[in-house]
Order: sequence, then structure tokens, then C-alpha cells
Amino acid sequence: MVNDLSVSPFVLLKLSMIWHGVVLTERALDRLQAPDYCFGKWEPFGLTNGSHVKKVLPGAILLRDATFVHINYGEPFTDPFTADFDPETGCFLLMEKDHVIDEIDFVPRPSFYGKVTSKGTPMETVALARAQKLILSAFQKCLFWKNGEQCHYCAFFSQTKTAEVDEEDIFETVQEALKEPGRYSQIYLSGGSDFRGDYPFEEEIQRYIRIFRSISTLFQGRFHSQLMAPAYKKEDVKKIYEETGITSYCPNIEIMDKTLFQRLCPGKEKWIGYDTWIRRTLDAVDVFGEGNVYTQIVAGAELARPYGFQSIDDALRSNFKGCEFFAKNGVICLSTIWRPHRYAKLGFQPMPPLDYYIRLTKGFHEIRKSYGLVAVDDNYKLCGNHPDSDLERLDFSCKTDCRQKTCRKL
Amino acid sequence: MQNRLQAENLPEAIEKLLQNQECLSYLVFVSGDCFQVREIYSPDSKRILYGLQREYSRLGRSLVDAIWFHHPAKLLLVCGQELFWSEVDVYKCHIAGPLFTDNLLRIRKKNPGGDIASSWEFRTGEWKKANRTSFQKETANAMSETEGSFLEEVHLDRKLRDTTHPVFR
Ligand code: SF4
Repeated sequence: MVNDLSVSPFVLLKLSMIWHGVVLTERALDRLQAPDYCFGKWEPFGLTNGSHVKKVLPGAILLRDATFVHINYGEPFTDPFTADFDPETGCFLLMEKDHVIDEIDFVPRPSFYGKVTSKGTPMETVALARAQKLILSAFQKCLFWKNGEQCHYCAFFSQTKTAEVDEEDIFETVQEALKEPGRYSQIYLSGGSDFRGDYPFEEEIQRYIRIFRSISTLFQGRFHSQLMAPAYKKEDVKKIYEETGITSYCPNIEIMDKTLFQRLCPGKEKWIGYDTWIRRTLDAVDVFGEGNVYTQIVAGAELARPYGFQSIDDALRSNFKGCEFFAKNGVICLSTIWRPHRYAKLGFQPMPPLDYYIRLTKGFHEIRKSYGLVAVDDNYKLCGNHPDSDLERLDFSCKTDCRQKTCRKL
Repeated sequence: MQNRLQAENLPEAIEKLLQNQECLSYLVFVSGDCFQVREIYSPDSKRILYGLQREYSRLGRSLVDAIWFHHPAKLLLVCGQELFWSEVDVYKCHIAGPLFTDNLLRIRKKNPGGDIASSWEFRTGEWKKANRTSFQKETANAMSETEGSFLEEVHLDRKLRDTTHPVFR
């Protein structure tokens, strides 16, 4: 365990857990098969976890302060933590060898799991649930993979069979999910890249509009929602915003350095290009407003062999410069942690040291804070993938102008 | 794991005070910040739950500081001239699951439009009786639960278009 007294111990623990990995004991796994925890058998993002176990793997871990920790259970970790179940207290425990680190919990099973749509589609193939986030995937393939132009760190959709998800199935799943009181604070829509159409991504844009338009009929006015998609032309972004009730948009740059982006994201480079991606991300601020456009980096992939930076200082410099540039322009830039995956082009290789992630987490948080930006749509509760936005929980105050930015009309 | 308070049975008298609508509850943090809090109860005669309305608030920040850095807080129950208090271990933040749902439904039962951002689980130690004046300074300056808040937090099922819910079917 690392120790940095200026940072939340829960965020440090989260970074350690993702870095080292977590394995579940049989006892924990057995308890997690019960109806209150048992998760779906399918994974809408087709991320294969490599598990050999026959039991259903659980949802993400929730630490005592509700910090969310996503673990690719079943990966061959070299020095993992253990998650055990203590039948005496009825609690799950995080262990480091024989030492109890803390009590932990798991994301509870959402009530729509196990149900089917009117067409007979299992709802858990359509949506994923976090503690407060409903995640929909509209297109369960990424066409970048077709010509070997996928992002080098990506292992999404490597196992899925179908591509387009039936839009009525999505609508019915959302309806069913929202019957559970207080279970969701955000609806998030994404999918693999589909560049088909009269111009690149036209079909994908139309699909996202149709899906969000139908979900919007359930709500009065705008509702907390996010579209994670490529950086579209401003007129398309405007159309998406105006024709649906969504509140935030997230075109992820993933790799901050231009040369590395061009190497590691060949599909994105070919169909959009680094400079255009950035320009369009800034353009989207004119549509969604400052603080409502997000982007993220896959932190660590910029240091991966064979192309990556030679030193963590160079990597930090590049990322901080980019985060500051985005912040200056009203875009919230977050980090998410790269976990090497054997189905990805970069394959299984060591991650950068934990210290890198701690410095990055603190740095990103400080930069955004200095610009009065608060990641309300990507915080510990609505997302949980970003250790740097987990740290915002102590920043209850922000600049007055930021209040207007983040407290937009919902 | 640091030494923490265990979830012990609450004294019967304290349970009664928690149920008494006339009593006022306050949370006092190491910073000296004191908040008058409303939605506080025990779901099982052991633990105490508090339904926080807004996380982006001064109180939200105080709770996070207490759980992150293991800063003890104090819970005061004031009924007339009587005051009972206990040290509080801000033990857990629930954003989903049975305790969160219990807290939320309890609030919505009283007020169908009600909502909470999160439910905080407290563990208390030994309860002490004191004169009301002993915490005069804190309670006189008590802030509201939403002090400094800048974002209304509403679950999506509270943003639905119509109340013929469950979701229009
Ligand atoms: S765009 Fe890149 S990261 Fe996203 S699914 Fe396709 S290959 Fe993977």
C-alpha cells in the first residue's frame, strides 16, 4: 500500500487495487451469486475477463466511502489483493495476504437484470449498471477493428457477435431500469465506432439521436446524460443537443501527445485526425456550455512499449499541458487507468509505476480546480472511472462563473 | 484497518429520541462546523443513517473529510433542555443497495417528491447527557444542511415526465 497523506486514502487504495488487481475467494464468489449481488452473464461491451470460473462475476467494488473500483476479475495478476466474505459479520473484506485492509462492498444487482424485452432480448445484454449510472451500448462492434485500425490499448468488442442493438430493446430496458427508485443519476450512451454513412459517422450520429430522442420522451426537460462518442462536426453536435435531452458530451482524446495518438489510435487518426478531434472538442463547448464537454486519457498507454514516452516525467508533462489547454477552453479532461489486456494490440505488459498514477491524479485535479471546473457528470458517483474526479469531493466550492457553467438548466 | 467504533446496540432512550419529531439533531465536525440535520434515524437499532440532500455542499464536504481522514464527529440530540451526545464514526457512504434504498424510501414516504444524494452510516460510541448550554456555541451557529450547495441532485426517476410512473406502464 502506498501512503500519501495529502490524498484521499480511498483514492490511493483504488489506484493500488486497479494496479495490483483483486482476486475473489470462493467464499466471496459464492456470496456474490445470491440475488442481491448476482450480476449479468453478458457484457454489453464485449470485454472478456479471461476468467475460468463458471460462476457469474460480480459488478464493480465500492469502497466504504462509495469510491468505485472497476476490476477486470480473472486477469492473471501477479500480486493481487483478495476480496473475501466474512460470514460472521456478513461483510466483504479486502485483504492483503492475511491482513484486513478494509470492509468493501459490490455494486448491487440492478432489478432489470434477468428480465427480457418484448422481443425476448435479455436486458443485461443491452445495458450495464453501476451504482448510479445506467450504461447503454448502441453498437456492439467497433469498425476500426475491421482493418486493424483499432486503438492499440483497446479490448472492447473483441468477442461480441452482433453489432447494432435494437433501439426498442434499449428504450424498454431504460423504462424497466428507471422503475427502481433512486437507482440512477445518469444515463450514458456509447458504442463502438461506426464510420458508415454519407459522410463519416453519419449513421452513428443518426442512431445516437434516435436513441436519445426516444429516451428523452420519458423526461420533463433535460436529464443527466452523457454521450461518449467521436468528435463530431459542430453542426452534428448541435443537432444532437437540440434534438435530445442530453446534458454532456465526451469525445475522448485518449492519447494526449499528437505523434503517439497517430500511432496508437490509427482509426481515429484516419477518420477524424488529431487536430480536428481537438478543434471539434472545443467547438462542442459552444453547444453544451463550459464544463459540460469532457474528454479523457487512457493513462499509462502513452508509456507503453514500443512507442511510448521514455520517462514518466515526459508523460506527465504532456498530459498536464493537454489538461490545462482543455481546461482553459472549458473542457474537463480526466484520466482513466490503462489496464493492459491480452486482446489489445499493446498486449499484456507492465503498467507504469503506481507513483505515476498518483502524480497524474493529483495534477489533473489541481489543474481543473484552478479553472473552477467540477466534473459533475463524471464524478465518483455518476462515473467512478476517474481517480482525479474522486478527489473533487472535498471541493464543495468553486468559482461563481463555474456555478453557472456546471449548474446549467436541467 | 484502523480501530473503528463497532455498531453496538443503541440505548433505548436514544432510539426514542431519534424517533421524537420534537428533538433537534446536530452534527459537529472537527473543523468546528455544526449543521442541523433532519433525516437521521436508525434502521436496525444499531447503526444510524443520515440522508444527505446535496453532496456539493459544506456538509457534504465535512462528511467526506470525516470518512477519508478518520476525523471523528459528534452527534447531538437536543430535546427541550436535555442534550445527549456521542462521538460518531462516519463509517460508510451508501449510494445504492439496501440501506440507501431504505433511507430514500423512508424520505419519499413522508414527501413523495423527496430525494437524497447519499445515505451516510454512522457508528456511535458511548452516549453522554449534557446540559444544553455545553454546546451552546455550536448549536447557535449551526448551518443548514444545504449551506454552500451549488447543484441540485435529483435521481432520474424524479425527473420523469409523468407521475403515472412506474415508467408509464
Ligand atoms: S474507438 Fe478505439 S477504444 Fe473505442 S471501441 Fe473502437 S478501437 Fe476501442
